[in-house]
Amino acid sequence: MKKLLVVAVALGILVPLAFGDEPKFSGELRIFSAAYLDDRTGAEDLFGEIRFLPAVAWQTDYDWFLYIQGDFRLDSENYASGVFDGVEDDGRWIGNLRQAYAEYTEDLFKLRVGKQIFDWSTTDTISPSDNINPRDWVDVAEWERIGVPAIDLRYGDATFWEFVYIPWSTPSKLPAGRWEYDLPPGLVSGGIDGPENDYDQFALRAGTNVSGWDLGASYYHGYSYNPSVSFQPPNAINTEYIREDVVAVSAVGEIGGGVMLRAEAGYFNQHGNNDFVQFVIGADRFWNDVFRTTDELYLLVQYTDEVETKNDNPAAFRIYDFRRAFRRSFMARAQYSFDDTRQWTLKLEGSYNCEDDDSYIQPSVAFRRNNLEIEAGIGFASGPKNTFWGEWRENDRIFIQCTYHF
Amino acid sequence: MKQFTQFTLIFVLFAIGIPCRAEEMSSQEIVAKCFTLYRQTPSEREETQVTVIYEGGRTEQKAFTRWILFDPTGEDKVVIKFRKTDKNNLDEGLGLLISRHIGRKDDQWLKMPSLDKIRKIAIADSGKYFGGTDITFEDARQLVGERTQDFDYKILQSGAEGWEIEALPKTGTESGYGKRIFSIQPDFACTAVEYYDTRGELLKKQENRGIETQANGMWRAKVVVVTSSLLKRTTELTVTAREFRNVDASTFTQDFLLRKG
Repeated sequence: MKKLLVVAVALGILVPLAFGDEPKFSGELRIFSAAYLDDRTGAEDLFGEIRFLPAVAWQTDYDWFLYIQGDFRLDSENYASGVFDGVEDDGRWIGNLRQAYAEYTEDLFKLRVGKQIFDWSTTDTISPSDNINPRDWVDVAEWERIGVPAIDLRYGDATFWEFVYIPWSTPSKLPAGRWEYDLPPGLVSGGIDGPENDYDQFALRAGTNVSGWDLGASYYHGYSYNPSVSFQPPNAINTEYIREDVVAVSAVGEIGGGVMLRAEAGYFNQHGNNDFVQFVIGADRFWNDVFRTTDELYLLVQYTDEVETKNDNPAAFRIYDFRRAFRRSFMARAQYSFDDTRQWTLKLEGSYNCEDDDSYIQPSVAFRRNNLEIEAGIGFASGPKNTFWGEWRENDRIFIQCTYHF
Repeated sequence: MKQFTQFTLIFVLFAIGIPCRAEEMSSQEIVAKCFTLYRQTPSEREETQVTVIYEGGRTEQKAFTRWILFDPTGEDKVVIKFRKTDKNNLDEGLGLLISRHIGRKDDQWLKMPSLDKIRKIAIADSGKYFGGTDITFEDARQLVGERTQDFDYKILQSGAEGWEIEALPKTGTESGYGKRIFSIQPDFACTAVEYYDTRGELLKKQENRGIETQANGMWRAKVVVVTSSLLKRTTELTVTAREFRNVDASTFTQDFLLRKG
């Protein structure tokens, strides 16, 4: 199967090159800078990164499509090192392929082969349906999905089914530098057991539209993108990627007055760790002409909770599980654009955990014109030590990101 | 004498021909025929250059491709994807998929340039402007085929130049407009639409310029100019390429909106 994947990628690249239209080039150049407001032992107070994301797309008359997106980055903390040499490991590379895939479509059928990013979420940030891609959490507040080599088969339009085969496992990139966890006093790290590469992973999804509601169901069989943390007597904390089966359902629809309801629920059967049912429910709405003509206000409120159904790992450190850290959490996002050109936008996003009393809040202002986008803001994390956001309460920072699109 | 009268009547009817029949058409029939002729193709693809001219002379260039599936039962689909231009790359990847339905609310999904996912959005946001142009989400749906059962029509003016017809939303019809006035030529091509708010204030005027009519009566404008009195700006949409060939079914899917390039 893995050899077939390699052959398919080679064919997918060669066919568009041989018969394709002129390739279309595009991309982004991003510069990110942050100044931390609190001292943290052994950590720099200033951080800077430059990132170049060139992309090329070919379309043929024969229903073939090829897309390659490079990812080149340098930063002041040397989080990135080395270059692309196969399936991603747990570190960032200076030179990498973020996505590279060939796609064939015929009527409502699609076959896509190569390194790709899947976003099956219908809710915001936390989604029981979205399990395929590992995450880059090196800078937790700026997390993103990491592409995985996969074969994607999809058929349908509003009613569809999709099958994804992921032949190799890719670990997530765990918090680093200022974002690295402080272990509880007296405990030491027992190391990280990465996922094994001889374990086939797959995901299934089906969706339909019923009376204006988008309904979906999915099943994932593979490694969790979030490593499991357990206590190993006498004083070690082990981090291990474990296998899981996840069944999830989702629903999105308008409940009246322009309010959209987005909800997901998923049962996580983790092999060797706690099983749980997680649910996420949120509502969002746009308002226009609030204070002036064509201005726009967007508001989203979302609640996440879970019910633990089996406790295999009594000493589990839930706060180290990015999916479960938001148990009994509210999340909100507000955006106000001064007009429909969206040249200036005020943003406010945050989350609050009712159980652990920790929170994160990030106000920012964004400007965009022609090919340039600039966003500047402040991120505040707070809460008791040994809570998800409390772990990073010394990471309050001012940031600015400039993105040039070409 | 009786034979002469019958002959004269038949001659007059022939001489008057279609205009005579058109004169007898109701306002709803005229609007329906206008859009029936517009929809004389199973599907369409058009590339459009957009210039938004602001008060003071500042301009913005945009470009998008639009695909339309004209379903005989009214279950139309529309896809709009913005492309980059020499001066604007920020809108590249902005996309909209509209699925129209008979007897229930339409569905629409939005793809924002910064996100690799599609978001279903509320139909109640019809009056919202799309992509920084003077076209609203509602316009993007209605302009591919008027749902004549949802509006009450009245002929305001009729003559050799055609008709001016007022369209008022019926009770229960969700619309961002209190009133629209169509200008329709004798060949049933629509040359202009005026849009008013619920208080009767003129919001904007749409002019369809360079109308081309095909042998089957299907009409298209080469340039659409929307002048907004409210926003004090003008949006010029110039169609640079148009094809009436069958569009692949995969185009009218959420997955297509996600496709790069």
